[in-house]
Amino acid sequence: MTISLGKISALPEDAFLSVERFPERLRDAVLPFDREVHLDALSSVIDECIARFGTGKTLTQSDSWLAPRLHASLRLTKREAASAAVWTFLATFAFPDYVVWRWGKDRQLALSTTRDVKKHPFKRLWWGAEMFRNGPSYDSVEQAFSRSDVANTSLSTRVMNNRAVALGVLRFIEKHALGSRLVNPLSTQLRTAAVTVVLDNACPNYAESIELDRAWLRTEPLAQDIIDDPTGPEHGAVSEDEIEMAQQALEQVIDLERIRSYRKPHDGTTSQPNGEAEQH
Amino acid sequence: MSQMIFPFERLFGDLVVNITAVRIDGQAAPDDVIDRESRTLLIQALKRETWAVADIDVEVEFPIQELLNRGVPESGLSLLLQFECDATDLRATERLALREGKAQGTLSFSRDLVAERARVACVLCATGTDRIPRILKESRPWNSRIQEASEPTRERPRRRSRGSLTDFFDVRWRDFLVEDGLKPIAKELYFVDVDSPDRPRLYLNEGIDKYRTLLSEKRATSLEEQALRDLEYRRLALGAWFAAVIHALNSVQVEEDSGDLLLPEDWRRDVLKLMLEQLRPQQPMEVTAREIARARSDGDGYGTTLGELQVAINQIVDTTAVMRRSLMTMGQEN
Repeated sequence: MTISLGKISALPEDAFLSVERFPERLRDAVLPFDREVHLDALSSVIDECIARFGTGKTLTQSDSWLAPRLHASLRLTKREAASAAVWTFLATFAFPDYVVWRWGKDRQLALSTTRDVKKHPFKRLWWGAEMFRNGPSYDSVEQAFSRSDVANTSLSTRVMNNRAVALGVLRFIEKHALGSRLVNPLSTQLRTAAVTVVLDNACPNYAESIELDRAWLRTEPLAQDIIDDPTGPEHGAVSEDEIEMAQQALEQVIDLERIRSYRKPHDGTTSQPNGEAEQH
Repeated sequence: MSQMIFPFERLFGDLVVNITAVRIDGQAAPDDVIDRESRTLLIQALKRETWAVADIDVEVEFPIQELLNRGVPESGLSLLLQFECDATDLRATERLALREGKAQGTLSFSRDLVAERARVACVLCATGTDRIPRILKESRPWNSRIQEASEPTRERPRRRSRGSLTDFFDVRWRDFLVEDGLKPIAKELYFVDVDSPDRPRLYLNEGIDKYRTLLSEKRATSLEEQALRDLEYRRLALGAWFAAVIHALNSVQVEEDSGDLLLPEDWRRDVLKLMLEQLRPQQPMEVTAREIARARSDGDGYGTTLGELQVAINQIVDTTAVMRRSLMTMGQEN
């Protein structure tokens, strides 16, 4: 049976979330999506994810596997993905079992209905994949989600919406071996106007607001293809030169010494403005 | 003690961005789509059900003579046009060519890549000998309202009526004396919990003798009781909304370095939109939020603003029988 994407704007007051997919009791809350988007491939991808990563330590590792595959199987425009109702539908109605498997029963309701992109079980993966993909390639998405601190912090850092900068930052972090503790102070510097203007100047990206691979959006994804090798849309691609330019600009303006001297407030020494709390 | 924020000389004169024309799918939009006073593009007001691409013609000016007098040649300047949409994480930038203190450009965006609203701004930079561009001046931003009027109605069905308490607040009756978190305020009639995750929660104290009866749907036994009931409804609504809007305003920040306005998400954003658009209907909510944030940090006029907010809340508080009924029904369910 073909299953389609819908929207849930508000849950009933007496909503009870279980792990049952497409529960009858929530059906009245479901509104139709603006166009027909099938979820069959995504359903298979999520089944495979749960089977592949089981329980325990591998839960976090499942993010870097699922993020590209979620993006490749849920073919939405940015405008469509901006609707909170889509994400509530996916988490509460379509795949509540994934939410409980990944985040636990206690946090199910809060996470399933949150609008916070850093916290929603599906939204964070999709938007993270959108941020770090390079055209059809999801290689950098896997790299970004292999460290949850990088993905989470990036999602609230505006300059990372410049794709060449996002990919340049990943390489910068890897090159300078910046551990989890140092991602926040890096993000603090990336948020200053003095730094963002240098990065935007180095990598202007006016095509980002106009290009759209409509053929990819219209193509029905096949589950096995996505499980084996997910492929993204052609739009939103940056060249190696552009990433290199971003990386050079980062080397110029990021104060590495200051980052390395950062201590978290609870370390009892110096402190700097903190970023987002980790999710895991 | 003074602190040096920019270790280089900034531009004294203004960097001005003007939007001169808007085209939708290649067709010129009516001129009133550009509200120059509030610096807003009212694309959603065009009432076009479907469109694909918007083109915005931009003209930028700055006092080039001031820079030439300081020995800064135009060739050492760069002008960056920025287009941002927070709802879709879209950030597009373009360098504009400069000529005698002016620049022109056209910004194009696909409707499928934007939602709600977007922002257009410019930054003028001077590139030093180290080839690092430094900000000489930022323009005031333009806002573009994009969301079509027909969309949000199904998006947020909770807003059944404007200003209805039960649409925003999770109303619950509790005996404060036996509820752990509420014991310290056991003599209060109500409490607003703004830290609950999805909606602010309004607790009503059923431990107070006859309070639940007073707020019940039962017909009042006297005109005095009816008057007291109405007064209490109004007091509750005013207190709850005021707590929610102050909490939401506390989440409004203006970044020191960039001057970017940071607005909260979830219900806090909804309450800001409702209240601030009531407070200053002539301008976008973002402009009002920025003004209040500035007043708060400067201490200049913040008290007056709070007084005005109370008036705004009074104006939108719905004390009709419908609201009372739904308030009680909701409360009894929890």
